[in-house]
Amino acid sequence: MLDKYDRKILTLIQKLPAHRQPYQIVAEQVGLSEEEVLAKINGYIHDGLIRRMGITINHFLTGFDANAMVAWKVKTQDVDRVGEMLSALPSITHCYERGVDGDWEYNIFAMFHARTRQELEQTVEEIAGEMGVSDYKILYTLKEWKKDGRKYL
Amino acid sequence: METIDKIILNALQEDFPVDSRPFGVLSQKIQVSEDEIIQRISSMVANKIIRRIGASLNPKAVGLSTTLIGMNVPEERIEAVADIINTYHEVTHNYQRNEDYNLWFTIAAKSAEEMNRIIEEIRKKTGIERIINLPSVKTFKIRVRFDV
Repeated sequence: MLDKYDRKILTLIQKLPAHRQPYQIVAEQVGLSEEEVLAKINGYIHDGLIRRMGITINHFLTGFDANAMVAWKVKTQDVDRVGEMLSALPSITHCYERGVDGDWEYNIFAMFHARTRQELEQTVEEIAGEMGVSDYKILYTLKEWKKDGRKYL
Repeated sequence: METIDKIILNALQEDFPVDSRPFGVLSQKIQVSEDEIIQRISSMVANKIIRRIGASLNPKAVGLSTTLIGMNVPEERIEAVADIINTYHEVTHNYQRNEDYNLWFTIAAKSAEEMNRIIEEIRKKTGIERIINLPSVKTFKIRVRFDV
């Protein structure tokens, strides 16, 4: 169970300052010593609460201007095979199985990134053929209204 | 972009040191002074090349409930509806897309109850009726590293 220190630390360390001792600044805000904060963070990493410690860069840097969420309608018995085939593609960053709702029947979601839409659609068509899944929708990112990977605990 | 900046980004994307002096640790590896690294990173933050520095959490492991919501919003109302949705700090991503369901956002809330409360509030405040709620069942892949 997370206590109030854990919640504060986990919230704050998602956006560290570019400072000589960023964890010291977090420690001051939380009211613990820097050593205690570092020890706790190592514990969170060990326990799988933190997936990654790192710098998150902006997509525009990568030259991948065509970005789409591709949703696939996949039979239950094929979900694992399709999810694994999609995940093996380097042009995919995220892949999830999701529940369906109302008139929406597409249950596998994968984020594709390519230099152009043409290149993206070619990749999608190829993998669709290999997986034997013909019912899918390409949902291009038209506008980013919000992107803030931070989560508040 | 300068080579040193690229080296710094590639080195720190997945491996930011948990150390009293994280930039000092990198300094020893790449033979660039700690102050220069900090100054270069500060510029990249100001130029929005870097979105943020720090932890990416596993939402389930820290007790958060997450979902993806799709909404069918009349084109002329998109901005106003997006503004209402973005007031919630539980909303982490919000994208406009080329579909019948044209606004898609993710929620990470402290509990399933809290998540449902937020969805109902958004439904009331926006007046949008066609909303689909697609909680994740299984995560197959998350990769955030891009070589620059």
